[in-house]
Amino acid sequence: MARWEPILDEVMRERAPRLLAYANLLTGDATEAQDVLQDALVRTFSRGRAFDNANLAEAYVRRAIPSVFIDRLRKRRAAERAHERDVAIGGRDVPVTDRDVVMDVRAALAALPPQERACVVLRFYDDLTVPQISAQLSLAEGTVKRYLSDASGRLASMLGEDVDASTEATLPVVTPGMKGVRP
Amino acid sequence: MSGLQERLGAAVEMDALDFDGSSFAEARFGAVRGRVARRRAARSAGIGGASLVGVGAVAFGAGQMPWSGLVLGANPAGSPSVECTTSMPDAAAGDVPDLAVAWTELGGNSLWTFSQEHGTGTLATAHFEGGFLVVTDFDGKQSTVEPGADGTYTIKLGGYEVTSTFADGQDTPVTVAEGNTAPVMTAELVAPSSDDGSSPVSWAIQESTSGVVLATARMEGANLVVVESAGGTQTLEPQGDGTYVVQLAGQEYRWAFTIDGQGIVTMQVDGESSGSEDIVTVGSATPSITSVQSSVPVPSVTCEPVTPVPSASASPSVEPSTSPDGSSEPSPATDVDSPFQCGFVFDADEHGIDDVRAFGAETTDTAIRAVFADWYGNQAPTTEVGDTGAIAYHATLDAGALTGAQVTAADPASVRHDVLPNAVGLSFVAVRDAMVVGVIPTETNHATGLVVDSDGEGGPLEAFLWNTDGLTACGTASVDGADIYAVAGTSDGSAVDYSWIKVSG
Repeated sequence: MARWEPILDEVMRERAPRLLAYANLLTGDATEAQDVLQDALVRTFSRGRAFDNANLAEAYVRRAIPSVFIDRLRKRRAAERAHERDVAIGGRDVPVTDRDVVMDVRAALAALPPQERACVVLRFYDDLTVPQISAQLSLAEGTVKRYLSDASGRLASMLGEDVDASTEATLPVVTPGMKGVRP
Repeated sequence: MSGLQERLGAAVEMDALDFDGSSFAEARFGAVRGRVARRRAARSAGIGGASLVGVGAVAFGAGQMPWSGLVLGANPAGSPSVECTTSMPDAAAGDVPDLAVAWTELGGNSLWTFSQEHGTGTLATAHFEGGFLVVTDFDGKQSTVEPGADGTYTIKLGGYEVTSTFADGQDTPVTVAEGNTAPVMTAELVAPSSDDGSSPVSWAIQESTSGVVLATARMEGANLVVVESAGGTQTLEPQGDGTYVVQLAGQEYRWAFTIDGQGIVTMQVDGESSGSEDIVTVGSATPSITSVQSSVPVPSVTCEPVTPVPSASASPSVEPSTSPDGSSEPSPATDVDSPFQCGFVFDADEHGIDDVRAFGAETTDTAIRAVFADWYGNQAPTTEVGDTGAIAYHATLDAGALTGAQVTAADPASVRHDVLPNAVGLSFVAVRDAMVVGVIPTETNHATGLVVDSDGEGGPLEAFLWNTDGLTACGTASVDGADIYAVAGTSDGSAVDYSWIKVSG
């Protein structure tokens, strides 16, 4: 058995629930979350890096998830992207009377275009700065700011609360590399 | 913001309770493992395109090659050794053992590699020409395959029949379906590389069809030490019956070794998955098959003692040269003709032939970090490369023939050319008074502070050295304060062209 296989097995068996939950934030779809996680695992373990433990491997997999998510988006056909835009446009028009539904932050996220969703997750869940998001998703900083600004307005509408999308650089509370580390 | 952050955190926590890691692993582990193994195989064969090559992909030279144990094992020049060749009997498709394989796309030139699972190397390459699939097998034999009525291409390789389906009219395989995909592998022991008793005898465990070395094995006391080419070392104690059971390339395969007092090794391929019992006995001088009981074809092994003949290209060596007075201080060695070796004397600060020419200069670790961030994104080894502005070194080799070559950080004369004919190597050496006094060893899977890689298809091979601790002094020489040279070589399988350039100062 290759040296990386036991770590891969451990990550998939023991760390998959949190990784899938994280991927689900981005995808809004459990099945697609599994596909994203699978690609992230392949990408991470194919690099040749020798992981000494599952914590480190999990952290790398977790960091790969948003990139994989965006890459998958970019590969989709134009028709699919158009469909996603339609969904997003529909999301903007969710009436206030359905607030009970969209109070679910997952539903609110799902109503965002995927790129905006990824920026929101990295900004508000991972606490990354705009430059960090820009680097991770290979997007221009101006594009990230625009996505965050647009998404904030929509989320505020759907969630019924202000969403501060300040793009001021902040120090991350938890560094991405340590996010998966457990005591 | 805090409200949204809390909601997102709660959503993750809640979802995490609903997801079942075991189910996910059971459903997807095989697929992930297979894809990882294929990518690692493609990279370790030195043929990965940009999308396949990552940090460490070719960074650590031949030590990471599947056949490193054979190439870099104890085989002192001039000592007798045994060379084995393997042939696979033809058989009806139904009798052919299954083979776990996969195509890997190399890049934009419509070239794919056809590799076994479990990181054992490349079996063939293929590309489209005018609607036909042109396949070149590992012996260099080329065949043109017409599509069948259903649009599939059926390929026979080494006794295995494989059917691959490519998208009609497209240059990339959209769907790939291989026949005979159950993971069965046969392997054999290659005879000891040295039998004079002066050094530990080691055997190469070689995959039968491709000839790729899966691991090397040697005795240490009563234990059998198996060094896997894919990484990892197993130290095995004898079983109750005196055999050693080894698991390689996943859990499906088990090998049992029996070693008697005469140095005779018996390798039994346990038929855990195939039901076969293939007994191959390898003697210390002339291996032969003593017993074969199998329901599937097994390779025949022909072995002949051979004595290495010095070639025009230098053999790889990182051993210190010994001077005539017995000291281990390196001295110019007349038999050293590779700049990758201790004792090599440079007659100029820069040398290159035609399009084989290395370029290089000092840089900083900070600059290397920036390059890695650009190349590898969030996979960049930022924890390994400092950000201090310290002096580091960068070299490029625009050999113009990287595609399909074995790319290593080792002397290209050291790699085998029976899988892919051409090889390219790029590394650094420490030089004092125009003589090599320090080299970067490539026996191990990791060379400190060195990455050799290419920025995508068609890009030059580039080497980065940000930590000179990876330079091992030749003998008692010191590498402190030594000049740093980039050394490069290209091989077409018959000769090696070297180039170098002083990059320090």
